[in-house]
Amino acid sequence: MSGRVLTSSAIVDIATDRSVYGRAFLVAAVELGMTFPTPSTALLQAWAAVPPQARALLELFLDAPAVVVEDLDAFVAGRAGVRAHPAHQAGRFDLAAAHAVDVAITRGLAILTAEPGPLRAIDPDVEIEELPAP
Amino acid sequence: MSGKKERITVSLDPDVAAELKAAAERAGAASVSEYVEGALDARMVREQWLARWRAAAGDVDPEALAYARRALLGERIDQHPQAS
Repeated sequence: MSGRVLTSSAIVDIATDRSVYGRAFLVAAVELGMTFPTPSTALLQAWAAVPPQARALLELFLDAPAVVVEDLDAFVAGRAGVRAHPAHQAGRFDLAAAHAVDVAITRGLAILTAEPGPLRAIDPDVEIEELPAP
Repeated sequence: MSGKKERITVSLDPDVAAELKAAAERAGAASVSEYVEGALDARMVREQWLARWRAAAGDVDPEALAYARRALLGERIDQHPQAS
């Protein structure tokens, strides 16, 4: 599998066009037949963050052939939670970031994000592709 | 997909034809036809979605698209836009 794991910041960029690069990565991934595993927790954050007028594009994003939603089941929760324990102890825990890092490590993919900080707090070595500034 | 099949003849470069047969075998397809049908179906799904996206969101900035393609393909990017 080739592609990138998406975070909520990347999804919000795609839905709102906050940066031209989010949509560019999505379209390029579809053209190239690549996969964007999307943690369900990142989706939750994105649904909460986007304004109502962007919700139709979020629905269309979910229909993209590249997008594969990764659920947070009990097994994944245990594995990702144990990995995130040091970040939690340091007061830097973010649930969706912990989920995204777990998906990235499991799939062997880099994470596409506009906000790398919470991901680095979970795992400083996780591979990140930072979205360029708008 | 319908179980009824229609025969279509296509002309391919010999090297492409050889690679097609090898790719179908690597993929474990029952036949070259099955492999081609799956590949075409996936491509058409992608193109249909891209048309829906363009209709809803407009065209993507061409420079950003070129950047994203290079990044996803792992190509070296000499001019990296400023990270956010």
